[in-house]
Parts: sequence; C-alpha cells; structure tokens
Amino acid sequence: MKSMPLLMLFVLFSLTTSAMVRAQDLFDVERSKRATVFITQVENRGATQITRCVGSGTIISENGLILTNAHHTVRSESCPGDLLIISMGITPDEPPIARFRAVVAQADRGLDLAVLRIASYIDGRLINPETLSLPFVSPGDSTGIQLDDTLTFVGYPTLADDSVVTLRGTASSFLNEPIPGIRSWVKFSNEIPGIGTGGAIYSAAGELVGVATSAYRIFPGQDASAANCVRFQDSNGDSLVSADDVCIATGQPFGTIRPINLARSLIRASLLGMQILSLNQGSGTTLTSESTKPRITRIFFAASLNDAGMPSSVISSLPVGSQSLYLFFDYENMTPETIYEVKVTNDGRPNRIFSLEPVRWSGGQKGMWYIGSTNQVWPNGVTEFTILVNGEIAASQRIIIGSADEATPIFSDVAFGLVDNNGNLLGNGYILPTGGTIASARFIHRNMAQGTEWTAIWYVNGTEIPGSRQSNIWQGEPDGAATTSVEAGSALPAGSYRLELYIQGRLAATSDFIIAGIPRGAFADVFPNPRFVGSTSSLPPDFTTATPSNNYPDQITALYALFDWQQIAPGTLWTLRWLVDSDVIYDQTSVWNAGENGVAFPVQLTTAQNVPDGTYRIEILLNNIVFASASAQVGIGQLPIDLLGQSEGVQLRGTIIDAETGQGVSGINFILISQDFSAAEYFAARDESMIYALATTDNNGVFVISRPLELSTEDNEIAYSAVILAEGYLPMSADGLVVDEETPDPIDLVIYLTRD
Amino acid sequence: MIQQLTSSRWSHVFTTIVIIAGMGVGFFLRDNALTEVRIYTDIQFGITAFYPAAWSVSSSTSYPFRARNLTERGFPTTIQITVQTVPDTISPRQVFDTLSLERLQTLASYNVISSPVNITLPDGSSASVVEYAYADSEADPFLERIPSIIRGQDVVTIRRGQAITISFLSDEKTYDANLSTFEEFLQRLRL
Repeated sequence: MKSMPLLMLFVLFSLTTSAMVRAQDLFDVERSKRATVFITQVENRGATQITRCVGSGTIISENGLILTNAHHTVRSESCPGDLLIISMGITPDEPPIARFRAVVAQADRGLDLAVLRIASYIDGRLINPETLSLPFVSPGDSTGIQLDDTLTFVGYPTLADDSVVTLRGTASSFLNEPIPGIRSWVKFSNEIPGIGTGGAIYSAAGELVGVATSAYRIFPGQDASAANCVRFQDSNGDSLVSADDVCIATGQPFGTIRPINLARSLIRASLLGMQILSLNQGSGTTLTSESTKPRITRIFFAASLNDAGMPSSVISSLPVGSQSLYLFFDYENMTPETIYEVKVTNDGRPNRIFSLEPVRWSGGQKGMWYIGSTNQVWPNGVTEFTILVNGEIAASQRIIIGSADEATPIFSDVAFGLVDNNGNLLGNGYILPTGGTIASARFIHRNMAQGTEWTAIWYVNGTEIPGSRQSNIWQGEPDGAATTSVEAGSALPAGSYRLELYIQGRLAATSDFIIAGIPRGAFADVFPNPRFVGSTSSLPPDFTTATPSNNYPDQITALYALFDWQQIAPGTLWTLRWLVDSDVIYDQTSVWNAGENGVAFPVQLTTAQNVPDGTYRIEILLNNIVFASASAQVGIGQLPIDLLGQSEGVQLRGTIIDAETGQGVSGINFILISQDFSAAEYFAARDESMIYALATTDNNGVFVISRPLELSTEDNEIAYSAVILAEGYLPMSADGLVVDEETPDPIDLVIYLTRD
Repeated sequence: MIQQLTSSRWSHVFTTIVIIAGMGVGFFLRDNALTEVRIYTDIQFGITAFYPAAWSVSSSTSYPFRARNLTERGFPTTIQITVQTVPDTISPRQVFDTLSLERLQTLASYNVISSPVNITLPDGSSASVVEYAYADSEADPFLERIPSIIRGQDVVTIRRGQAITISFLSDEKTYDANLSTFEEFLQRLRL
C-alpha cells in the first residue's frame, strides 16, 4: 500500500490553528449564524401550500432541536398552518433555503417559547435524528445578564430575502410580571426586525441567553399596517394577489427578550423526549371565544410587591430617584392568543426602556396582573402607562414621579390569616383553609391622623360580600399595624377573595387571597395523597384501583402522577411542576376547572420508548407555595449520564484541492481514525470500527466531519489519525491530531492531493 | 573509447530491462492488490464472505456485514448483508415489499425497477433478486452536492426462519463495472 505521511496536513493544521486563534473572538459569530434558521409555518391546501406565519429560530442540539417562539409555530387561530419548514443558508451570508420539516416537541404558549424537532427532509423523507450533525449553540444562563450588558441579536431580518443579521445592543431594563415572575422580560436597546422574533440573543461571552419575542396578528376590521402585513401568495385561487389573500404579519421593530432560563424546562423535556399531559378533561385553561372582548379594569400603581406578588400599597406619586414601580390591573376574557402591549411615556415622550412591545398574553383568563421593574431608576415627570389589547387601547393610568415625599396617610403590606386568642395572625398569609367563619387581614398604617375616614371592602370571586363593607373613623396610633376581619354567618366558601382598603375614598391598599382545602391547624390541606402509578401498558390503568408505589423497574412505558383535591374553587390559579433528578421539566400555571372535590387527578408522563431511569417528583402549588409533593424512582433512580449531555468539542472541516489544478475535488472521503488506532493499523485492517467519523467532499471539495473532536486534557491526550484514499491520487495519512481548549472551533483544513 | 561506448550501450539496455521488469512487477502487484480478497466470518449468523481487500468492512446491530469501497470517489460501492427473523410462511416478495416501504420513508425518489427474479445461489439454494434505484443527496445542509443516482439490487433468500438480504449498491455510472465484484462475492459467499 502506498502511503506517505501527511506532513502537509500537519503544517496546514498548525498554521490554520495559530491564525484562527488570533482571529477568534469570545463570541463565535459564524457559529451562531450557522445555527440560525428561518421557520415558515405552512398550511396544506391540497396541492397548494400557503405560508401562514414566519420567524427565526436557533438550533440548540446537533440532532435538530430548535428553540423559537410558540406563536408562529404552534397551530392557532392566527397561525393555522400544519407544517413547519426549516430553512438555513448554505453559508452564513446567503438567504435561507428550505431544508427540513419540523414538529413541535414542547411549547408554552403563554411564555411564547417552543422547542421544535427536525423530523424529516424537505421532501418528507424521515430523518434518524442520530444521523444529524447540525451546527448548534448550547443554551447558556440568563441570570448573569446585568443592566447595560452588551447583547447581540442573531436572526433573519426579512421574509427570506436576506441572510442572517447580527444586531448589537445592551440590556436596557428588566420587566417583571406575575407569570413567569422576576425577569419575565429583558429589554434590548436596539430594534430587532419584527420577523426576527424567535431569533437568538447572545451575551458578550457568546452564550445563548435569550429569545427575541414579539407577536403581531391582524385583527378583523383593524389596520393591517400595524402588523406590517405582507401578501405574496394567491391563497384564494383567483389568479390575483390582493387584499383578499392571506396576509403574513411580519411585525414591527421590537426589543423584548424572553430570558433563556424560562425555556430550560422545555429544552430538558425535549432532550428527554418526554410529554406531560393532564388526563382530567376539566383541567387547564378555559379559553374564551374571540367574540368575548378582553377587558382591563381597576388600573393602579404600587411601589413594590410582596412575596405573593401582591401590591404593597396603592400610590399616585413617587419621590425623586424611585427605583421600583409596578402597574397593577384586573383582566378578564384574555386567552393565550390575546396580544397585549404596554406603552410607557414620560412627559409625553415614548419611553422604550419600560415599554412592552406586543406579546402574547401569558396569564390566565381572569385575575389580577402587574408589570413593572425594580432596581432601575424611573425618570422624573408624568409617566403614563397605556395598555393595548389586541391592538386597541384598553386602559391607561398616570403617575407623577419626582414629587415631594409628602406625609400622606398610607395602608400597606396586607396579609391574611386566622387570628388566635392572642391576636396573632396564623397561616401562610395568602391561602386560608375552609371551615372558618372569620378571615382576618393584618396591614401596616402610617401617617394616619385620628378621625380619618377609612373603609374596608371584602369580595369573593369578584362579588362584594354582603355586609362586609366597613366604614370607620381612625382612632388608633398614626403608625403601626392593624387588623380588620370579615365574618360570615356560615363557613366562608372556597374561592378567590379580595380586600380593598380605602382612605377617604381613595384606594390605599388591596390584596387577594384564596380560601381552599381542609384545615390542618392554621394551614390548608388542598391536595392530599399525591402518589405515582407506573404502567407497562399503552392504556392508562384504572386510577381509582391502581396501587401506587415510589419505586418502579426500568421497563414502564408511562408514569402517572395522581393526587386528590378538596375544597378548591373552580377558577383558582394553580401550578403543576414536574422534576426529574431535581431539574424542572414542566412548569405550568392554569385555571382550576375540575370541581371543588375529587380523587385521583391524573397527569401522564410518557416518552417515545420506556420512561428513562430517574427520580421523578411532582409539586402542586398555589400562589407559589408548594401544597403537595411526591417522588418516585424509576430504575436506578438517576438519568443516564449522556441523556441530557450535549456533545462538546471542536468541529473539523476543510477543503480538498487538486494540487495540479487548484480546484476542489468532489467525492473524496476524509477518514478520521479514532484515538485507539493509527493510520497504519487502519490500512492493515480496513475495519470501519476504527473510524471516528467519515466525511465526503461536496462539489467544491468542502467536507465537514459530523462528530465534534473531543478535547484533550493534561491527563488524557486524545490523538486522532486521518486518512485520505482516492482513486487517481496518492493516498495521504497523518497521526497525532490533537485538539484542546486552545484550538479554534471550527478547524479549517486545506489539503492538496497529488495525482498518482 | 570503444570499450566506453560498449559499456554505455550495455548500461542503457540494462536500465531499460530493469524499468520494464519494474513496471511488470508493479502491474502484477497492482492487479494482485485489486483482486486480493479478505475473509469475513460471523459465527452468530453463520456467514463466511470474501470481499475485496481494499474495501472497508463493518458490522452493527442492524446488519452483520457491510463492505464499502471508500477509495472510490462519490458514493462508495457497497455490499451489505442483513438478517431478519421471519415466519416460515413468508415469501421473498413480502420481504421486498417491507424493504420498499421502509426505503420510501427514507430514500429520495426510491423506485423498484424490476420484478423479482428467481435465481439459484452457488450453494444450490433459491433466492430472488430485485433491482431498484434512488437519489442520494447530501445530508449536510451546508454542503453543495448534486444528488447522484444509486442503483442497487437485493438478493433475498429465506432459510432457517430468517430472511437474508444481500444488497449491492453502486453509483449508476459505475454500477455495471462494479457488478462483477458483487457476482464474485456471491459466488464465494457461504451462508
């Protein structure tokens, strides 16, 4: 066998490495661009395919998981397509070309996040995900984002006419909402093109830290220009492209970012291939019909929140240099398809930093909501918040910032409970058990002069409790804590309660609480008997007779979490959380609709094959407080090590050139031999088990090794060998190819072949 | 002077003879290398196969034997044996149909181009042959390659409750030239 040492390859490897090390930045822009995809949601109409919604996305695993938004991928009224087309540029500087079809692996419509899985080629041929080796970026950690940190958007700017763009900006503010909570949104100082929704946001260190998120849709009877409507297909078959054809909302420039940590549970569940489904027909959010118009009422400001997300007190002004402000309001008839927007102006000038561009509604159907921020200085002047729902102004409210700190009477920090004989408030503050006839509220008061008129009004499920209104004259100390109570003739029923405290007719403080469950001391037992039932059948077992266990073999095909419930009123917001090996894979807040009492509420966890080994845990929460939890172990009780692992290493690619013509040579096999064998051993045995990866050059002589090369460490040197065998050319081989942390990623080789 | 000329003439002749002899040895070695075979034995499936020595061999859970010519440019000519447990009543036609359904899901423009033909294998057993073709396109979305037409044939024989499929795949341009290699493989194959 003729072979010669591949000295040239070594030399080129070294030269390329050193050159690229100098050029390499912390942020690998090219890699992030290559991992960016353009997503088209298409509706099949017989032989015609109509584009319905578009957006960007980012590949987050080499086997084809894509992180993006839910609003343009999950089928809905505004995006009724049934096919997701994934396009990407052959080079980062080219417009995208349709390559694959994808399916939704996991989605949270409220958070507007989705993980897609590439399932087939564009022509419908199925793909074995294990054979894919796509460029990807691993999700980073968004908790490290600080104000004014440099962020970079990477996504597509237009309807498939342009290549991927990068836009630099800074983190200009953090906005908080009840769901998902602190840092619901990061605001970006630059303007992201509307079609870039779903695109990636990277930190200065090149970590994927967010998903650009904004949602537009066209509402009947409204000006479509707000949604930047584009029509380019004759969708109704009248041989014209006119106003009667399907319009694609491409949106307006925006700066709203969902932090990547909010997508962690979706990503984990996708990697594990798990699906979690509530089998109780009455559970979940009740969607209102589109004819029921959303309403925003009782809009007011608070300077801060308490642990339960309730306003500390109601304010109408703030002193100079205030760093915290929240707008509260009641909402009803909202759905996950509702588009909600908050415009903030300061002395009449738009304030982008604290505004929220149009996004999908992430709350329930009805309740109290807030949006605001802390630890950021609000500018002085008259600040006005205007809430738009589905493109129409729904409510607005003003507050003066920078006013003198006057000694006005204040009520604040309302907490609820049962009062013991010593006057102490018992319970956890916002969830009270049923059975009592008296509910009490403790609140802080300041600057209350004697003789000041004040009023307490109690509500249950939105209706004033008859006889609860108490108009009083203040008789106590100016500053301190006070208690007020509501007493009913019979036990207070389960439900959502509210207390409003007024001072001289002005709303001074308000807070909501829940009465639910059976009393256990001062606390409520709402979800007793949480348990797990495993099954080896494709059909669910009889949950009322199934024997629960907390230990299952590794051959079950489904795991069911069951729990009973007592005295919980329909309409109450509750949260179900699943964890595997302490990592959250499912976290969903929805409206309770299963009746006040019942047994064996079933939630199913399934995977494509058997449920993987691991320790599974469910938690059931009300108002962010865990009311029930249970754990079960499957198999050895720990996930396989590589199941959540992402392959890491350095990508190797290159160009093979005919030394005589200087042209790339197509169809040449570049064989990378694994660390355990040398090139000579491969020549002798011709055994493919020695091959680490194999790549074939394309028309331009370019090849890409699909598996990343593992990094060598001081303790473990991994030396690969390379072989090129091609009819008509001298064979080439090399041993001792080593990559480590200093090696640039990707490695680009240029290899010259000599004709024999 | 004359002696020098004679010596020079003889050296020319000797050099020419050495070159011709060297080329002859080279061609012999080359032909030998091209026709050289290796033996592959799988005790579990009872397979003994002789394949070209320059080809690379592998086995996996989905096939007990596969040899590919990785020195070939473009699609590597491949000979592969797969074994699946089947009921005794199954016919080769049903095996072909199952293979076609699977390939329709994963191969572009897959087309069966001949009806099953019964043949007799060298060991005297009967088998059926079907030819097919498909387009082999680049899986990597970032590489540019014009799809090539791959032509193949499956030889299916059913014995001991197993359907043994011996597949031959080659680029349509080199199919006829490489077919003799497959025929020699079949001649020497012991199942």
